[in-house]
Amino acid sequence: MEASAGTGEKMDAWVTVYDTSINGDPLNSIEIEISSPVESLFGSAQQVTVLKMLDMLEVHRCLVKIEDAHAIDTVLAARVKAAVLRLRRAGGAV
Amino acid sequence: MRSWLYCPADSPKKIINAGIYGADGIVFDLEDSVASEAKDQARILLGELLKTYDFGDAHLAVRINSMNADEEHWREDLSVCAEAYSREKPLMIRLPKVESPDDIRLICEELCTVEKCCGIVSGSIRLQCILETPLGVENAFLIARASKRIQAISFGAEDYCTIMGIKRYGEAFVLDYPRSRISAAAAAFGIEAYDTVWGAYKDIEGLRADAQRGRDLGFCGKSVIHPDQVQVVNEVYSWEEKDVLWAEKVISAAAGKANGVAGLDGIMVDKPVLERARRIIRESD
Repeated sequence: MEASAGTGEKMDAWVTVYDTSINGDPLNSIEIEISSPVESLFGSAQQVTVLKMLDMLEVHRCLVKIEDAHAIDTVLAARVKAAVLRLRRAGGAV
Repeated sequence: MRSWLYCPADSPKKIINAGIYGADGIVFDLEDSVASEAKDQARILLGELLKTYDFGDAHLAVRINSMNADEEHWREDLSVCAEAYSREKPLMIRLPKVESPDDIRLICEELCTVEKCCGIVSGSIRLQCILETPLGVENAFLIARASKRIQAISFGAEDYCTIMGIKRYGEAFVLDYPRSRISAAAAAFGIEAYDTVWGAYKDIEGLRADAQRGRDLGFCGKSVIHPDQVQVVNEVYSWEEKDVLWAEKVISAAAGKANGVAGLDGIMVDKPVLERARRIIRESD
């Protein structure tokens, strides 16, 4: 099960959160995959932003895939939050 | 406030850049410019950016979803606004399709609840009501006095024209009645009146004429939908140098006149004229 949020517009990000507990995936931690034009410069900072938001939402197990188009950290965090809440609304156990 | 720039609440780029165009106010829109399926993510995005991003000196408002819509998005919109509210940067609510004082009572009840939940002093969050139906226009006076929270009433011509069967971008005079009624209602209760948007965003001269019409009918500002419209509206709604010079002359002429009546260039200067001059000086500062 998965849910996405965001857009493909500039200064935005397209974020997909996967519920790894349902599809039999053995993953029992948080995994983040970021595709970004600024990955070499800000990849680590983006990871921290995502992790902080997941921690705030008390998410301890999922896969997050991000297609970044120069989103600032606040936008990235907001998109992660929206995707997680959508996944929960759809019944995802994250 | 002369200009209010609408900004879709689901576009990071537009939100982040909204403060750079010189608009006196920014209206983040959760209503018509956000698709129904994107309202949840727009709310979250806007909430986060309002809490962290600096929009400069611009006043801020959020157009929430209509209370008359099928889905009750407006309550969630209000919660987000209350969470992002701060005394240093107050956030106003722009409420669409207001038709009666009952609408105001309903939203004020909800605002009291969310203010309490967020630890905000009751009555802090102020309202701008958009009147965009014949009934709303007819009830302008009742709406304008319905609550101390109301900071302004505003005209929305698109829905009004649709309901009335009026050609929106035809003769300007066809909107004189709703405009006059709304601006008079605002003046009667000491609140501001903002004119409707000009949707033909490439027609700058049309915008200038439309803005001037609104100003002549008593509005104090106008909403805009495109950054290119900001400067024109700011110009139209600013006092010109000749107006300020006239006002200074009036005040000088009236100074020291025991009965308060003076003459200037063959025109009587009495109390209302003097008050008008003072207002020009006040607003041009």
